[in-house]
Parts: sequence; C-alpha cells; structure tokens
Amino acid sequence: MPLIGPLLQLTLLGLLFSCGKPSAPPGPLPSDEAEQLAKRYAELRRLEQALSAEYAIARDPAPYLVVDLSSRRIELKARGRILRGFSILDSKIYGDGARRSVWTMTDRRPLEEAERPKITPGAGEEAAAEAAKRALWGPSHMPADFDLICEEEDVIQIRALPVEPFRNPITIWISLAYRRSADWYRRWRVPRDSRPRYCIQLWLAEYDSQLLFWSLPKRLNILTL
Amino acid sequence: MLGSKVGLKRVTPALADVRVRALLGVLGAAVLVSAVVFFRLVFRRPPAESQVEVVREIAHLDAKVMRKQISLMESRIRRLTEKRDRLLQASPAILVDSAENKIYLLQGSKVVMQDKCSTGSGLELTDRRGNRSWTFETPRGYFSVLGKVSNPVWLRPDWAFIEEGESIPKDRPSRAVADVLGDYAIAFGDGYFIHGTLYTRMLGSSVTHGCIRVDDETLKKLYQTAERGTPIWIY
Repeated sequence: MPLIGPLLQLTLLGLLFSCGKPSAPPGPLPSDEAEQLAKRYAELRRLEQALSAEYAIARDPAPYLVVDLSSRRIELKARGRILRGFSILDSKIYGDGARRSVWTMTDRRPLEEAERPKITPGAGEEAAAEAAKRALWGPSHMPADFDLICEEEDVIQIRALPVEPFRNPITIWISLAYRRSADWYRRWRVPRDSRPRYCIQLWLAEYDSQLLFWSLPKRLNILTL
Repeated sequence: MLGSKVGLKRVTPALADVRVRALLGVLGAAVLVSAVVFFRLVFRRPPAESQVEVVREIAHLDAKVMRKQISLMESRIRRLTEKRDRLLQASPAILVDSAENKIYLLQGSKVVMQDKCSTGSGLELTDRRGNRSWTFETPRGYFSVLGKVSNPVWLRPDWAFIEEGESIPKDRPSRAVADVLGDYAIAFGDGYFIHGTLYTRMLGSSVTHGCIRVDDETLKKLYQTAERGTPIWIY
C-alpha cells in the first residue's frame, strides 16, 4: 500500500515522456527508415543468393527440390519450372554438422513400406486393368513419413501431420501430439553414433507428404535455403 | 434440485476413487500437451537469424549508399531471373503428371496442349515359380525422346504372356501384335513409350504396365511436335 503513490508517480512520468513528439533531427536519416532500407537489402540479398544457387542446379535438366525454410515452401522443380509445391507446416534442424546448401539424395526410406497390390498370373489384362481402376495404388497409398538419405550422412526427414479440414480440432490436436511424441521416441531410440550428421526435419500435411513421396525420382539434388 | 443433489452424491464417491482421479489427471495432461503442441505449430515463426545479421551489418550506412546498394541488388536479381527463365527454352517439352494422369505439351513456358493420359498401375506381377517379378510403374524424373515410330507393332514381353496365363513363345514373330499401340509411339528409354490405346475409356486412370497412353488426337500432336532430344519430365 505505501508503494502505490511512488508507483503512480513513476507511471505518470513515463506517460509524459512517451507522449511528447521528438523533433526531426537535421542531417542523418531517422533510424527507422534506415532499418527499413536495411531490411529491404537483406531480403534482396537472400533472394539473390537463392536465385544464384538455384540457377547452378537448374542448368541440369533433372528435377530438383527446393526447400525454403523461411518462406515455408518445398517445391519440386525442373529448369526453374515448378512441378509441385507444398507448404511446410513446421521444421526443425538437428545435428552438429555444417549446413550445406545443396544436397544430393541417394535413397529414400519410408518408416513403413507400403504393400503393393499383386496381380495373379493368368488373371488377364482386363482383370488387371479393373483392379488398377479401383485405385488400389496411388499417392494416397504412399508412406507419409520417410527419410531422404543424402550424401555425407545428411538426412531430410519428411513427417506428416493430419490437418484435413473435415476432422474435428480435438482429434487433430491428439493426433499431432501423438505423432510428435512418436517421432521424438524414434529419435531417442537411435544410438548416438548412428544419428545423421545433419538433419532437417520437415512437417507437411499428410496428403502433401504422400504426394511428395509419389513424385520423387530415384536421384535428386536438393537446394536448402 | 433434488435430482442434482442425488447426482452429486453418486459422482462424489466415484471421484474419491484414486484410479478415477489418476485417469482424469492423465486425460487433462494429454489435452494440455496437445493444446501446447497445436498452438506451437500454429504460431511458430520461421527462423530469420541471417536477415537480422545483415540488417545490423548495414543499418549504420548512409541512406544514399544503401539505396544504391539496393538498386544494384535489384538489377542483379533481374539478370538472374532472366538467366533462369532462359533455361525454359522456346523448344517443346512434355510434362506428365502421374498423380493426376495428365499430359502437357509445352512450348517454352507456355502450355500449348493438355489432356488426360494413363500411367503405370503400380501393380506387381510374379511368375508362378516366383523367379521373376515385374512392377508396372511409370518411372519419375527426367527423360528425353529417343525416337519415334509410326504404325508401331507391339512385341509382347514375357510378362504379357504370364499375365494372360499363356506359355512364353520361343520365336520373336509370335510376340508381334499390330494395331494395339495406336498410330504412333514415342520412345523415352528402358522400353517405355508414349503410345495410343484401344482402351480410351480408361484414360485418366493409372492402368498401364508403365507406358503412357494417350488418345489418337493427342498422340498425333505429340508425334508431330516432339523431336529426338525433346525433354520429358514425369512426376
């Protein structure tokens, strides 16, 4: 109670100082405009670095992946043309290794293999076509959680989050918590010396993750920004 | 009121049970953790440490110098964008979206034709002895037109006989079947072709053995436009 008086006075003094408009100083630029210009320059420099790095890969006609962590996009491209684009819902970086901007994927490993439907010998082409038409195989049958194994033991982990619009928020929350916990447990179980040198983990919507797996060629350059 | 008093008397002994309280505690914790995870997901901001460093590096410079730097940077970006766009040469290219079963013919960056197609079913066939198996998938990646032929004749491979339950012939002429691949076929490597089909009602579905099937009109346009070396991207 005795402190209320001094506190009130300090508050009133603070309000008085903050309400006064400072006069524009002559000569040097006000600091907020300088900061705006500096931010603009930083954005342009980032864009310039991204374009330079991409041009170096895009000269090869093979498709490549661009993982842009700051704009939260992952794009499958060829010669600068976007073939498929996905939003990154969340990302994490693990490992002590130095980060490179260009990675070469040598293998992709799903956490669970999808089982292909089989054709019985002698069933005939019509039966096979009818089976195929029933969509027993396709992007929605692809694994949603998988690792892109790259050279120098670096890994890009793709993980799926269930964010379809028709599921209710409560089940989405529980699914999210379960998947993240399961992934944390999987990582914890891996022995320290078997862990990747450097790892980028990307969380995508479930169908996006499956469609990405479906679309990937066997070898791929990956540009991380 | 009496009902609620009776209800409360029934609930209270239940809450006195340690197991019930423990279960409620676990459920509450799970809801709390889920909420935290969800809101972290929704409100997380991307990292921007390198941008902060650049801002600190140059914020002390004179405004005129900064504006000049920005102008130089913008013209460098314009030149890089033009260089990258020139990679999309004016020559034709073919894109195949195997998830949507669509085929596109491009001239530079412009789509001049698009249509339905059929790509590989993804099914697996194993012969009765289990010695050999085939996966009927259209490969993904970059390819190029290696050759094209009119009035193609299909030389049935071994899997075609196994699929029908027929014995595999020893002579090559017994494998030849005419008029099933349409008027043209465009080869892009490893025995894969873009060709026509008798099963036009199946176009738009993943039903082939790996090749890309299109209708007659699209096939003719592709045959007339594509040359040896025309790029094909399948994704």
